Amino acid sequence: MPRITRGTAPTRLWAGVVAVAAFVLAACGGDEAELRGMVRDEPLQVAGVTLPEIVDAASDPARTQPFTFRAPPGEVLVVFFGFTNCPDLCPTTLAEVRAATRRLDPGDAARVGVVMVTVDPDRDTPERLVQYVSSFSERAHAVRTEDPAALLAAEQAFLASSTVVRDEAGNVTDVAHTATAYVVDDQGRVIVEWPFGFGIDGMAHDLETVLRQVRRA
Amino acid sequence: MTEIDERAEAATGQGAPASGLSLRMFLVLVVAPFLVAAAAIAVASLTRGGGGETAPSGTTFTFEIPAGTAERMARGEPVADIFPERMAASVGDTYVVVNLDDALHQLGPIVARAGETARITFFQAGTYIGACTVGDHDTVTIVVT
Repeated sequence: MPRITRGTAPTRLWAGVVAVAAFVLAACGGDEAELRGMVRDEPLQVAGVTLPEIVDAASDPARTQPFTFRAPPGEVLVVFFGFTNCPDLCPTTLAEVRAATRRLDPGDAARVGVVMVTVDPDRDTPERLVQYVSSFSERAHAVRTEDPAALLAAEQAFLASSTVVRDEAGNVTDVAHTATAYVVDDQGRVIVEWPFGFGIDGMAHDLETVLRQVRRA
Repeated sequence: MTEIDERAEAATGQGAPASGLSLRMFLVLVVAPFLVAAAAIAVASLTRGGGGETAPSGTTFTFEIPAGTAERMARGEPVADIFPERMAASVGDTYVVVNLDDALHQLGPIVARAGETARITFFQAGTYIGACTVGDHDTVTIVVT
């Protein structure tokens, strides 16, 4: 009988070790720190959306290539609909995205692309748009279409909208647009959405979380 | 040797490394440090995030948009004002919008498709403004403190 006691106590200890190890594995490998931005039961699917991306604004502004809203494997895209004359929403959001990206490990930061889709293509020339978005990211994509129907279709896929108001002379007097930033994974799913003012802390947290997910997938 | 004897011997002999360490020494020198390190890794893993901060705890508020809301509004009929024009929230609070209608709706920063549930946690103090498609006000302002 004493030997039974000697035998069962270590067994319990080993069971404890196994339990702790299982907890550690679950904590390290299991998902998922909760995302802090807006999430949906079923993510928006935007992989089917294609718009022209400016390829070489300096030497050939008219040259474009189709841009599909799906990140390369293991990467994510932060997509924003805006315009370069925006006084507040666009520069604030893009600056926050830049700051959040800089908080990541360099290897992770290199897996974040920033996409700006202009909602004011008349005033956002290819050169201007590329220069603008490139000031916020080294991995920038300047997306621009002069086809209102194509822009509308893209916005609808993201549940976004925009309106350009003109005076009688045709001059733009106001531009209203959705100020949400969308994080798109390599399957073309909008994993999380950041409303205006969401903040750098939350963005950095969500980027880390989504990047872990896409790396594992 | 009985089965119980074999288990006991396995626990005290083969379970430990072959260097001759006793089980007690093995537990102290190997298992205990492992447990401490494991716990540290687990805690770090569970709390990692932007700036190393943990998410604040808060209250979850759920707003249901009834079926037929868009149709009633189109007919000019009154609908329940489920979401006031101005709301106050605390950092860490979560807003959940359950859209039971067959039309897309927006409540401030939250856009929910027909039949969809969308949620957001306010992690940062600030003012969140957006359109409102339910009720008699055009916008919603959520002030998070």
